[in-house]
Amino acid sequence: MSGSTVSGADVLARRYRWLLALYPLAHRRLHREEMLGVLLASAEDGRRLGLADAADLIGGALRIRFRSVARGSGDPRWRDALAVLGVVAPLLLLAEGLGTSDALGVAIRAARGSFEDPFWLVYSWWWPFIAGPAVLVVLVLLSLRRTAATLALVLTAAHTVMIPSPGSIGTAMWVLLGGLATVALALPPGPRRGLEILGWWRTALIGVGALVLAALLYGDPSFKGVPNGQGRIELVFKLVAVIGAACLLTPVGRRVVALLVIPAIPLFAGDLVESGVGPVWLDGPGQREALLFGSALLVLCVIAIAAQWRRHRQGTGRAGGPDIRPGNRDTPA
Amino acid sequence: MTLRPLQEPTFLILTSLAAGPQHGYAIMTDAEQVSGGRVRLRAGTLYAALDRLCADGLVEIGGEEVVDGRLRRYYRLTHAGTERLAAEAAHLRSNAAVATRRLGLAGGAA
Repeated sequence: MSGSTVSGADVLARRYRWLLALYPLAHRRLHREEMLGVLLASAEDGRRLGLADAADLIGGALRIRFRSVARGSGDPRWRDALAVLGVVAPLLLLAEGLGTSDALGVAIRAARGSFEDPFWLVYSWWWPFIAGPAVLVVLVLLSLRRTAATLALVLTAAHTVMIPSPGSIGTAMWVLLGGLATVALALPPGPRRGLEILGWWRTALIGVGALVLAALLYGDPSFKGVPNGQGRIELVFKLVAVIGAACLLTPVGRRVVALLVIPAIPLFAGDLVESGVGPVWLDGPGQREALLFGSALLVLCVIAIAAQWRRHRQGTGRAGGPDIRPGNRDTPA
Repeated sequence: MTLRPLQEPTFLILTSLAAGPQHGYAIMTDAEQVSGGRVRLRAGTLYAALDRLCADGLVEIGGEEVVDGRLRRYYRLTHAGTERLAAEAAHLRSNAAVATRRLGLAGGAA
């Protein structure tokens, strides 16, 4: 064997190792060397990494990762992060709904003695996106995971269809956050584990914090000592940054932050295409991307729920059993 | 409980293992041979399928050896895997029989 051939095989092995790094740790420990041997034996010319092989390896890694999460055998920190997100995301959706519908603004103005038409919400097309997340939060607090996941999916789909500004950044963020909530609730261990991790006090604190942020962002009246306009938006961003930094202190918190970056993507994408002052809208291509992203996430949600229900129906017991089983293994209730 | 039909790669993997324990590369070459060269399993697809089949209890690890400094792991059918493959083969045979009979009735004009 010539030196260049040996070098080519080494390079190929190194490239395969990069791709094999995409597989979950447990799978890598058991199968990496074995897979490497099979890959090198089946390499077409013995030296080059084919695109089809690379795509197949990436697809295999994604399938195994998704399956391990779906059956509750994935990295426990990611499972816990999803469980926490299953509690946090519905609270954020409720706060967002109360804020953008001006319900918070009305409440704040009423508290200051400026009463408005009490039936305004009934006439508003926003009420499903206040009532829906409110029911969702109740279902989460009752740990009714599957019902909550179904409602989150319905709300996300309804938001995509009903909101008259489908290309707005707010809609894209709502759809992505709703999609995340659906995935987090569809997969075990679910909100019961999330509530265990957070505890009632921190859950309440997150709910109140989300309401405060929504009130700052959407509540019109001025608050004593709080800046208005751009200054208030900067304050909200600073508060979010501090909360995010605090979350980075724990492994689960870091993963929750990483997941919550997904719905924030349209915000950054919007900044890139923003022009002039006034409401920020995505332009044509950006709008299409946001909707594509949302649609892809919705499909993922449907697949996740279908996989869970199928496993439950077939009585495998792993994913369809009691919600909290994997969580309880780590932390007894 | 109604069993879903097996996907062709899964069917071919189980068929390959029905002959006895095989290692990954042997499964790939055997599956290609059984399918008459029509299906070529790649490593990513093979190991994703093996991961699922092991998790479902249809396949298990049957041993390992080191050949030329590389680990070679053997897989074999479990009892449940044998039953599942037999059920699938019977189902395919039944469907094929109906198709063949109807083609015969129609004078083989297909």
